[in-house]
Amino acid sequence: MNCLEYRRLMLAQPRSDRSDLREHRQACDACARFTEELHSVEHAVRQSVKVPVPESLASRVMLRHEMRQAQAARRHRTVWAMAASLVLVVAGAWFINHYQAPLQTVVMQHIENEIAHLGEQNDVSPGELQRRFHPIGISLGKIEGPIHYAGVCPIRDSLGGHLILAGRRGPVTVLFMPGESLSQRQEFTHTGFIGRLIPTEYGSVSIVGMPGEDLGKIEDQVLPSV
Amino acid sequence: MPRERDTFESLVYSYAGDLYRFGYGLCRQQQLAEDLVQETFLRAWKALPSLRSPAAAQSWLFTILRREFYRTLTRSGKDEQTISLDDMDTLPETLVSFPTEYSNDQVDEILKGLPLSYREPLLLQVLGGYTCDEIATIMQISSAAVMTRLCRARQQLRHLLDIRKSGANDL
Repeated sequence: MNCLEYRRLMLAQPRSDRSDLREHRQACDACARFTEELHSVEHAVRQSVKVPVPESLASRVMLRHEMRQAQAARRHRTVWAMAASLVLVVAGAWFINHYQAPLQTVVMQHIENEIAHLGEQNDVSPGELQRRFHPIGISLGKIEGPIHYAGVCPIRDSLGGHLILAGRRGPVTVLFMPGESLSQRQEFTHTGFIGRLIPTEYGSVSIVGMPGEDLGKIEDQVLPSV
Repeated sequence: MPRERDTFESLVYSYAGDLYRFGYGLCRQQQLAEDLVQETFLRAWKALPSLRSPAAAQSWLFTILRREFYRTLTRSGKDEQTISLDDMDTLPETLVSFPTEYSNDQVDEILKGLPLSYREPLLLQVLGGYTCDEIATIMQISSAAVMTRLCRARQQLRHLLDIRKSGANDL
């Protein structure tokens, strides 16, 4: 093997441990030096390509996956609902007049209906948050981290506050529901999310995030402020 | 379905980081790299039954991302740096040595400037740890062409580092 051939092969595969390459390196000082310098640059190349990965990237991928699955399931349900619409209209009218869905169900349905907000990456200022929640009479104190979405929306029969914060594992949804009474705290899981319902003086608060999220930390931030 | 979800989740948490780095190395834009990762896993979910074994997962995902990147490039009409096809797949004739004084920032800057046809196999080798044969399968070119491009990539790296060193010395 000559030096040209050696260097071509090393340039293509610096980490090759072929015996003929080793032998040439041992016999040729110039190529041994070349190899040292090549490995030094190679090390710098390896460091350079290992750029920082955005935080919670994997969680966001899973979140978007869950969102798509939920939307697909909803479309599937819509087809069946259309097929049985006449029966549902009659039965549903009676049902609504005589039964109230559990708050957990209401919360998750609301999140699924407004699932597009989970992908938002805005940064709502404290002043803007104050302005948006003014109609429901809720004033929040300082909240850590970016607020990706804040809005007022109908939740069951009343207007509630809908907040999306950046959690450690992905977006966290906080719903403020004035008028929704709750007898005790509840923890729950639902199709890839974890959540808790918290009774308060003016109604209820729900906090929903990705598995592994520290919901207590979010609760500590939003509850004392209300 | 729960087993497929578990498999999918395992793929996401195992490979999202390296896929991002590969995507970023190709496009050099953070948001686009993240979009490529999202799109890759969207396609991976749909094609999950076609993944034959866990051992093939990484190269399978890298291949999907690569295809998505080129689709994006075609859609955007962006003109990546090209090199002459005549001399692309022939081996260099001269010996090279590497400069001994350079910074990591210089290397990073120069990597950005490498033509895509050189940068891509270099990323696959450095990030993915693939052999030349494996890179050839992913890129759908011959192993000889892969070796030549890797050789040229490192030659060009050396040449540009030399230019920067000369420029620094002239200051």
